[in-house]
Amino acid sequence: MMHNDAGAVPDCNGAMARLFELLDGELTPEVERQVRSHITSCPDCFTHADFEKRFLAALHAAKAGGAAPKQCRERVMTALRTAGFTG
Amino acid sequence: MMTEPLAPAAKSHAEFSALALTALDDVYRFARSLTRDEADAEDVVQETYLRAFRSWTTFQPGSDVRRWLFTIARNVFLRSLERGKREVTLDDDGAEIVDAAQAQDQWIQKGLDPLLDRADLGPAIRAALDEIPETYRSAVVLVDLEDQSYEDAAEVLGVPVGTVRSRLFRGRKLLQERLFAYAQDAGFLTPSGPTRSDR
Repeated sequence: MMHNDAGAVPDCNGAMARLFELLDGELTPEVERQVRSHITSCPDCFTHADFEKRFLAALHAAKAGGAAPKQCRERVMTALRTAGFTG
Repeated sequence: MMTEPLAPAAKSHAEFSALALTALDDVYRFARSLTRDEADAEDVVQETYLRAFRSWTTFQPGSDVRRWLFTIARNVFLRSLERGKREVTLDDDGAEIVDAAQAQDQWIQKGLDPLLDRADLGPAIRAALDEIPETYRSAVVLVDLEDQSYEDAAEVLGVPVGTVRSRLFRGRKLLQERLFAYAQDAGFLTPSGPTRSDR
């Protein structure tokens, strides 16, 4: 489905091309308003946006469990002390 | 309680400890995502901290220490690649034109959508991240896992912001492809769509 509404509101391709920037909070307020305006009025793009939003949420949640192993921390501290670190 | 003023070197070391060393988990995660190997990641982390310590006086107080450490870590990693020729990275500095809406429809039709509601997706995502080229992986890790802005990620990667945008798009789509394959392998999906139990 294509939209070519009047004004600066983008069509489907234009809105979807900026979807990740929208979800990442990287758009200017004016462009964000324009993209959101299209998405809220287009069922296909709304579904697409909802999918990508949940995908990014799952991706962000994958960060858990990434702490450095104890031996890595010990290696770093040993190397630093050898280099003169006294902290 | 009175405390003795710290000597300049000791003060610098204390600041290094308070700022740089507290980011060690973040640096390790980033190094792990770059190398895809725990032992190699530890090598990168150790070298990163040695370089950071030796150049600590050049760190601008008030700037983002994680961004600074990520930049060093990536340089260390790239240097190790030059030495070992372990991986040929792809680059994609051009603007990528992808029909996102069409790609999205495909994924929904194939049933990736219900997979996103599963609580145990983290291991699959981390495994999928390991499978995509470093060029895209770094952008995804910096923005999606380490909460860096496009501008900060561009600085770490040494590329324009538009390139980060392009690499993120491609990297995320590659991840979705890998997750789809994972879902099929794990029996969550059939070639024609989601299994009945996942609906």
